[in-house]
Amino acid sequence: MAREPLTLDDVRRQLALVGIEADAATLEAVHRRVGFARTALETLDKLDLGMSDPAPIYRPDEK
Amino acid sequence: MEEERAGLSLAELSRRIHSGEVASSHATEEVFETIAHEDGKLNSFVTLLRDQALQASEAADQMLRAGQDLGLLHGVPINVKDIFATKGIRTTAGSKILGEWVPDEDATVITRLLRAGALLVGKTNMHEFAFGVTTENPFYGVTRNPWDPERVPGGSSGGSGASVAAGMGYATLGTDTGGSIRIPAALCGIVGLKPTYGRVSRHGVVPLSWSLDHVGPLTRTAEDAAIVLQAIAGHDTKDPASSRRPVDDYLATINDPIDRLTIGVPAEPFWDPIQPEVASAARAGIDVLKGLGVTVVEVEFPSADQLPSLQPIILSEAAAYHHHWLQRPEAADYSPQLKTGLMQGAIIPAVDYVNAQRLRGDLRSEARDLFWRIDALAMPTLPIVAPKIGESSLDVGGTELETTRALTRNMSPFNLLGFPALTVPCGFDSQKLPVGLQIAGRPFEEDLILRIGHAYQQVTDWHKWRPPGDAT
Repeated sequence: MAREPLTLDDVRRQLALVGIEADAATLEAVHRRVGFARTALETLDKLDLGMSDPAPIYRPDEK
Repeated sequence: MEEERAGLSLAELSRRIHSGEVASSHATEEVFETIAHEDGKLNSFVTLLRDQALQASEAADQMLRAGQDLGLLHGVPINVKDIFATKGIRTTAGSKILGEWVPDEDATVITRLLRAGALLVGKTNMHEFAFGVTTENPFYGVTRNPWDPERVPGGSSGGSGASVAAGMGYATLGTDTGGSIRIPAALCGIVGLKPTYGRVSRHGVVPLSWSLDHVGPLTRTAEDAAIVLQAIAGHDTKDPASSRRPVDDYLATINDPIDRLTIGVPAEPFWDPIQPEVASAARAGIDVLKGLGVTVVEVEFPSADQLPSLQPIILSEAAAYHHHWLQRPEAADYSPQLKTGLMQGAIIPAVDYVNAQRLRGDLRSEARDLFWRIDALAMPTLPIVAPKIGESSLDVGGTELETTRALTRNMSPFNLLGFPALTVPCGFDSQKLPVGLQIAGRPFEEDLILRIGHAYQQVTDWHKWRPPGDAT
């Protein structure tokens, strides 16, 4: 199932869920930016990240 | 242009201080004279430390006369981005929220620089909380590019880039989360090094995004960058990502030949779109490396199409750092642009963040595989020269690109991978604006990319060109 686009009210409620309040102008601006990030999220959705491999953790000492 | 080729490198100043030819106090006075002459126009500094620096320079001279030598940075005037905690000195991170913050301890890298004998001239302007790449700061003003004051110096370490380019310090420290060392270095015509993730401590550095943040030097030459890196690199128990790997002796190998090296030149996404004069300068730079005996091969950069999509997701770490302020009245003290960016990060789902980190690990493995065939990568640092102040989008070789996108495209892959990357000046466009050549290497091979940069600078003189008005 494809991601549903977030509405302005979705953005307001999601921010409220993490305890953040925004005025109308800020909400509009966040909503626009969420639209830009959607491309990135959809790129991730298209990838097969494997079913059984442990999530790689970056170890700085690894050469 | 001949009259504009002036100014000493840090290495040369250090040599003269140690030989007694130049007193540290004299060099420091000269830096403040240059600041008085230039910085009214450029606005590179948030805080100047004149009395402290002059006092320290006199002490440095006395120590040398008494036979006490702290090393190559002894008595050298430098500055640091205002993101590094400095004991007893206001540290704003370019923000209103931290506008009056006076830390009670130094960042690890500040302690190390001072122990190595460096003198702090001042703290440089930056993009608010390092979340941006132009240094158009709503609280401390716009920093201007020394090559054209109508243009930005890049960012977020823009004050750092402008100050070294204009001779207002022999080196500076910056931070790089998506290019914030390399962008201002390239746009201001100097050298910038983003070391390997974990090589330099971030303790005492106001964070932007913990898994992307790096600390490194901006200098006039690769050799100078090696000197500064030597002083700041190494394990720090106060930074959980800090590596325990021993630190190389960067100067010991910097003059070694590079003729047995193979350098890969990746096509996508680094060259398209690109301003034609920038592409020409970068190609010419790669030809210079060929002339030094390097084997140059074309390579495919792994998952070039996927890497850019990771940066905005992983950057949501910034929302975690700022969460407590976003919930409180302090939220009114953010610029609207930053507040919007942070709030967008606050609603990135956890599942997407974790999967982005999974993909990042896979891509890192693929990039490591690429380095079985080559020793380093070379490419244009940026696809554009310095944009004008306020220019939110621009023409890049016939394609309209958002300025931030244009400035970060060739940068963020190396923040995501954690691999070291160096930019060296490689020419100018017809408007006399600098162009940079980026050289990236394997993790912890700063010695190799510094060696390549140094070899390049032995046969070119782009790094000796100074902006108009530079008094050095």
